[in-house]
Amino acid sequence: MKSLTGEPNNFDSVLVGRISNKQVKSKERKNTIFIISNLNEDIRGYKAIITSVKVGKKIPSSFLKIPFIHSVKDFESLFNGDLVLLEMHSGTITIMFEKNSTHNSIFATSRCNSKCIMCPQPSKKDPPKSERINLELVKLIDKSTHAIGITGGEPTLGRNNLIRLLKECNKNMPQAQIQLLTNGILLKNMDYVEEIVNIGIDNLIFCIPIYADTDLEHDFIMQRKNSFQDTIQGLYNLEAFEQSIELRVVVFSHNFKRLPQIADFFYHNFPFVMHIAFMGIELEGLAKENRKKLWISPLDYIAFLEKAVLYLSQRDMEVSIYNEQLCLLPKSLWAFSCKSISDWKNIYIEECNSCKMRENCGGFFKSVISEHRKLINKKNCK
Amino acid sequence: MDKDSEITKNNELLLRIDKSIYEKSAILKTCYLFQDKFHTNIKQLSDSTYGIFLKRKNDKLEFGDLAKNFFNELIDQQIRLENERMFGDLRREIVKQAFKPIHYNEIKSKFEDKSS
Amino acid sequence: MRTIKPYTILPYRFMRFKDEVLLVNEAGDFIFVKNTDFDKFRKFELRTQAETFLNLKSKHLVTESNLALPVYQLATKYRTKKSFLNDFTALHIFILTLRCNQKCRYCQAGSENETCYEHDMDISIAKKCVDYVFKSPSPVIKIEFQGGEPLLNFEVLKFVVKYAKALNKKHKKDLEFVVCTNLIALSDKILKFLKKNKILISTSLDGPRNIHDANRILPNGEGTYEIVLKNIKRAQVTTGAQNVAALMVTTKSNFHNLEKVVDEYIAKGFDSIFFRTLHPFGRAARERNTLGYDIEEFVRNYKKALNYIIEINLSGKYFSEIYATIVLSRILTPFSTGFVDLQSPAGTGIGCAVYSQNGDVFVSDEARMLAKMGDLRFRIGNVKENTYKEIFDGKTLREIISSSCVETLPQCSECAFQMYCGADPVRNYYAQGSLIGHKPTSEFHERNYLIIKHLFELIRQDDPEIMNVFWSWITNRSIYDIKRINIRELNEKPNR
Repeated sequence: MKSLTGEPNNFDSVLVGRISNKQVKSKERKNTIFIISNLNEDIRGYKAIITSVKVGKKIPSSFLKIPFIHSVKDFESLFNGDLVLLEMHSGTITIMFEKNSTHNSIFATSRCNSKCIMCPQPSKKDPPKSERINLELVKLIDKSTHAIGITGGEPTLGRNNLIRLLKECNKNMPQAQIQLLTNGILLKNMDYVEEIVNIGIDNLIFCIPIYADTDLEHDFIMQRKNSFQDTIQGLYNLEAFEQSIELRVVVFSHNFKRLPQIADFFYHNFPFVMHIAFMGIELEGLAKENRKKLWISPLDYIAFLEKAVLYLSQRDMEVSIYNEQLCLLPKSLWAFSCKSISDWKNIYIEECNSCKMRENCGGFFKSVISEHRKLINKKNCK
Repeated sequence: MDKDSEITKNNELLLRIDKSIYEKSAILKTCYLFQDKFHTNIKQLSDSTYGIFLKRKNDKLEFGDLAKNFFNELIDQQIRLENERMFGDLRREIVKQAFKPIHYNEIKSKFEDKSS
Repeated sequence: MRTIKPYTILPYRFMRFKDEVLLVNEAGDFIFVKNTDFDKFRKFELRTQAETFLNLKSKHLVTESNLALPVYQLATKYRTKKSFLNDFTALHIFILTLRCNQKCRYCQAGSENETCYEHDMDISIAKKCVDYVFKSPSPVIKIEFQGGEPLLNFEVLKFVVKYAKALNKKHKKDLEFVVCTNLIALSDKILKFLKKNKILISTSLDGPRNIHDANRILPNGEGTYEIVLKNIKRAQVTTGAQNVAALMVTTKSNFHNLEKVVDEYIAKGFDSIFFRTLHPFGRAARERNTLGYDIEEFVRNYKKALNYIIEINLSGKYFSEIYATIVLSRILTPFSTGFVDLQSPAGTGIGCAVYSQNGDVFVSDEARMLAKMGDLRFRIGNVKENTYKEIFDGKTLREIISSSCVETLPQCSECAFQMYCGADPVRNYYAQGSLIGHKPTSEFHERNYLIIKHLFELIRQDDPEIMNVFWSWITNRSIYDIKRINIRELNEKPNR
């Protein structure tokens, strides 16, 4: 998530609030974080203040009772309606929810029960009170939001937390589509699935990664024994409750040659899934460390990807390609490409400025820029 | 040494089968398959050999590759018998699991709870 | 010293195809492997890192340490494949009358004189039959009107439709009606009723005029092509072309010219055909010499016609062959396909029931024909005399069903095509003297075996264009949709 820094004042707390760059009614102020560029504004009743101005030793009296962060750079990246987390001890402002984005996620937990070799977000301990913060966040999210992701780490860890979080999402955003990103391992317990289903969310999708068509290969990538078996059991349990499922395959060096067989395996064993997504790799986190071993040039895997995608499409399965640039995909695959990279990770390179398809293209992950640049320069930009 | 196949005086194809390699069941199954175009008869020729007599149903039919085809099929039938011994139980287990009610006891107890 | 096997072989059936072997797992998933790989596989000599080994593992034909998971997955897939059994009898055929206004040379249905009204189903029997139809647990009910010519007993047809719809208000099943008619008696009044009640029409068209009129004739010997086509057009215009289907019967008159029959179907607005073979019943049996053909000849012509149809599809026109589509669905998809004529256990009674005009219940139309010839072996009861349970859970039906599981029949039990095929115990009994029959000389077996084998040959060739055609049939989409030739709008999807 995007974050900014500034100088905090003496308050020592962690706060969540909604950004506003203009005054709001008094009853809304207790959840609002007012962003100001001059210190003469009326700041009574607000939860916190963020300002680009430097506040010197002489603190205006109105500022004494209210948490604030000053001297904030990149002030312009805060938009009205964004939800932010303020860590007052460090002066960090993290944008948890972007009003103008369709790709927002809540990090249910940072812990994980696997250690995927290409994981862009490796497991770590949860900061204190993270559950409370998440619940507060959910309460502030605009009710008209179309979609929200629940991710991590592994959200199904901390079962009670997840249930509470899902219940809160359902209560505050009953119309939103909730995408739960999970490895599905703990969903091998039928009663866990039942508990989630009983919350009664109208539009809930389980997004579950499977990296191979055989157990040893998948378990190796997950770095966890029996994960293949457990995830499959989870899939069948979800199907027993008629839940919507999206299968995700990250395409990289370990599995690109078997993409057609993976597609075939999905079709024959999980024909009930709603959607299948093939995703380009993000070279962050663990993936960054191992980039030499994990990276495979799209030029090398495109043929396998094409076979797999067209195979599934032929069989009337819903299939998409995420995180792939249109100039690297053959035209036969353009219809499947999706703009999917979370806005905070997504950029284009200069060569893209002249590209006619730029609007429709997903762009790149920041993390893969250097590799991709070499490839783009070789091809004709259309 | 006897030849494996020859045409008899009665215009039948006689095939000699080594009893130690092929089980009776495999031989019978192979004979059954060829009964579309041939009448089949089996006789014990010696302690170690069965004789299969294949008589054409239609005189216009040529024997052709019949001996070769019969022996090939016989090998495959023998393979199938050995396969059945190897995984017959597993096969039955798969079908049994397929028709077993899922989590019946849990569903049953839930139903009983609701009705009380 | 005991050698530990490097992998476990999971249950499979096999069939040789020149330099390759077709392997099929217990759930009906298949793979072709080279002969040399097959031998290594059997002898436990495949390297577990080899691509072939991984492919076999993916297809649940081998496993290393984990046995529980592939067994669980195979069981799940097997259950899916057999799920056509879940709902019991869905197809209910009403023989409204034995009277007919035609006298087709190959008729097996029985066509009494148009004026012999004692051969009609009366309302009290019709009512009882509908009552029994709704005792079936199936959530989908298809009532099919046959005969003779069902439109000749239009009053009872109307009654059945109205009464069934009334009963369905309580049962809320997915209720569908079909009338199998030669369309000769299609008055405006009848057409209006069919349209109002959304009754699908299934008619017979054997080919262009000279072919059709060779066998489908009036009692006075005249052809019916002219009037049938006129009424097909009327029906298509009034009820919509998608609600009018045509079937044909293959006889010596048309089987060398199946392509012409296809052309005729396309010209007259149909988008599918079913090359049905002659069944050796009724008049067809008596006319065997003039109408009959041997199965190998039929299959040769079928293959030619299938090629012709594939070419038509490749030129952009959607047209499918129904039997091939059903078999291809079974081979290529993990789904269950209900097709009562070719399934295991057979669809007799448990998939389809025939209610004859006097209330007798039969497991199939052939069973009814046998009864007409004096053999009541396959009559499972009568709606006036027996309870639903006596009919559908009686000894007769159970005996028929237990002889129709290919998993236990000689030759079928080892066959690689097992999951795609089926049994017809009534046919076996009639043609060969016993419910199990004699497979090597069974025409039913030969026809299915040869065509399934041919389809596998085409699948093995893996020609991408032909596979596109097959998938367009299976998924009922045009070739353009299959190839995604109209690139869909590259909009940001609302859910991502």
